[in-house]
Amino acid sequence: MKDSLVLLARVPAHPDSRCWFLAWNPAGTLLASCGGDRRVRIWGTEGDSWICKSVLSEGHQRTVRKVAWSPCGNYLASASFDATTCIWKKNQDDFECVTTLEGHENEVKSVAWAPSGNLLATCSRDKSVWVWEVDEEDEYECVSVLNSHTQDVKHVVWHPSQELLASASYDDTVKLYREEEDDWVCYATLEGHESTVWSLAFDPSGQRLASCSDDRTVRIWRQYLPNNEQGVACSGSDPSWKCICTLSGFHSRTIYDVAW
Amino acid sequence: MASPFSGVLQLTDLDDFIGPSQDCIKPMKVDKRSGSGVAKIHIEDDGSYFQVTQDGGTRKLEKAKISLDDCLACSGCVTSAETVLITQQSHEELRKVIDANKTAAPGQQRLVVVSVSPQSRASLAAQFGLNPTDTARKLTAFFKKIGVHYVFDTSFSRNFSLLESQREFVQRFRGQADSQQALPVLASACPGWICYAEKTHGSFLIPYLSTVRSPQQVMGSLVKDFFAQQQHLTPDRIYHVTVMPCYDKKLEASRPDFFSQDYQTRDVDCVVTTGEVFKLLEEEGVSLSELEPAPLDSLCSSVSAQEPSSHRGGGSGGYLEHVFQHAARELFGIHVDEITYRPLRNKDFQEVTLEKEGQIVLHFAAAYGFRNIQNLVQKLKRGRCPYHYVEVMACPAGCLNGGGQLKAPNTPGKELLQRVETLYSMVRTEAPEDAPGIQELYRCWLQGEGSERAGRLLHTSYHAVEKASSSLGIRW
Repeated sequence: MKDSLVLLARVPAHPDSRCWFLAWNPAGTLLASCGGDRRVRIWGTEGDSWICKSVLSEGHQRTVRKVAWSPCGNYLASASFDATTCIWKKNQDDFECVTTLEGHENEVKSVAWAPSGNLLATCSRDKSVWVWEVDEEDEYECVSVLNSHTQDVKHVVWHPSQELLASASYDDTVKLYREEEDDWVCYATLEGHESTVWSLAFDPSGQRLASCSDDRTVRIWRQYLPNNEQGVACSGSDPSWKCICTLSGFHSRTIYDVAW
Repeated sequence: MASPFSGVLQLTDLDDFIGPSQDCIKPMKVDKRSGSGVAKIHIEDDGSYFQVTQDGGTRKLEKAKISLDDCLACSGCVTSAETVLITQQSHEELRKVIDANKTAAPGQQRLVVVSVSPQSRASLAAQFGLNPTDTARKLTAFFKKIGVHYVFDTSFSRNFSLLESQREFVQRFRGQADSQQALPVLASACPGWICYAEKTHGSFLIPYLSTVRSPQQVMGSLVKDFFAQQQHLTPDRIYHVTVMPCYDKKLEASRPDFFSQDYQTRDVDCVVTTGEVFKLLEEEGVSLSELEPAPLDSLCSSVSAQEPSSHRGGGSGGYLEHVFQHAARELFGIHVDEITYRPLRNKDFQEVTLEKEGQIVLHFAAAYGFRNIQNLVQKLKRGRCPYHYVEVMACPAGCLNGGGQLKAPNTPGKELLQRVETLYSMVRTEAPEDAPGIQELYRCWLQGEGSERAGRLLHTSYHAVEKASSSLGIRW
């Protein structure tokens, strides 16, 4: 399989510092990168070469750890070790910081937009997961502060079609959250990994969740709805998630990320 | 060399991935002496540390201590044992004092006073299936049985908190032209909120906070100043315990502002939660319902109510309602009978407005719970806060749902809370200015409303917590 990947370009993205993350915009035309130089860079093609179309500076005081495009592609969120998350609005080739989400006590590790486009989740070393809501006037408000994890939360991801949020943590667990009345609650904890869970990914159908960990395994979890035919027990009206597969022995070290 | 501190204080990681932001907030004063800097540290068998200088001289080193006084519930705890600090201020301490009284010489005994909050009483009422009056009387009986001398109700001191809050708001509203930070007035009875405000947004938020003392601390003033004088005792001879629905009140009682340097005594010596009172009852093998009720005590000899009284406006004190009604009357000549709440994004965030001739003249809100506090503070920071007054509480659903309230294993939380709320609102309410004894105390004890004494005994101040300027600040 390795022979079928061809290197197209090598781009020095963040001078003298680490490049922490990359994200394609929904249209697949732009690539956002972020890094230890506290900047976000937007890359696009011009003919055969990759050029830097924008540099988003003045947003953060420390490393930018993750960037995420909104489903519509007009906004970019950047999560930083400076404990804030900036929301940038795209105006052709320019990006303007429309607001800064504050509140986390320390490093923000991940940010994710819900498919609906008006909810955002952030997570931090302060062990919490925050859910934010944005209105038509680009005003962001905190909807919920979830303190279920007992350690640093590394990653948050939304389900592709349901209003369901998942988080991965240094406490070796994956937690799932949903809305209940006017608040968000953790309704399931997926245990099994023997070390930090670094990342999560739902498959496009939303039926399966993949998690990867410092324990060098990838686990696949599957959703079972109440009254499912496999006879998997569910508590009340909440679906149950069970580990259906553990992939081990393929990596000799920590697995940091996973994607379907 | 064994260090008395946890590894957290010593983390000096240069990698900005894991920042050394778990700094202990307590500044350690180091006496710098001139001269050669080299010294050895020698540990004695008893664990004390001695510094041995090159010329052989020894100096005993002081152990840096973290006590509850320093505890601001920050995330940089050196001891990582806030729970240890908090349990030092528990029902066991109350027991110790009562037991000490039994063996002490008459002149050495301490007068033990317990002030019970109406929220704790409502929680106990729910637990034992009693009405509020019986609960109050039986609790009085219980405490006296174990050696407490007087049992009071913080609803009494709450009258002062409410009246002062009303006066303060009207003053600040009228003084808007003179100060940019006159409004909004943010209620300050909740110590969880105050700790957060001082620690996270200190210098920004403090100007907006109400300076009125909480009912717990007004009771502290009443017991250690007024009552002490009445009993011909110095304040340190009284041991004042309060029964509260949360643990944060323990932090409030430990604030240096509520410590008398003159008498080396705290206004409130010990705070026990509702849960801790329940433990006490269990340890004594007493069921509250089986006790014979005792008559209620009151601070003022002229008052002899045999039924508790309360205030309207919800289970967290009623600050919004009392300030709103008073302001409507004083500032706009409008008499408000019923207050209509409009829920906003969630049930812990509600607003109230007063309209005059089609214009909104008063815009108040109640914001409970961390997420709503966040949103309120962010609005304030952006200059987008439309409110004149906000009743801020750290706990969702307010004080009746405090972290120290009783839980029932077989009853779902929501149902139990409903029951506690119903029992709380069963108590008849009265306007604070009409409560028996209040006017008299303003006259005799405080020498008038707005007097210097009233300012000193019924108000307090706040202090921003200094943070390390950069989270990369490494202290070598």
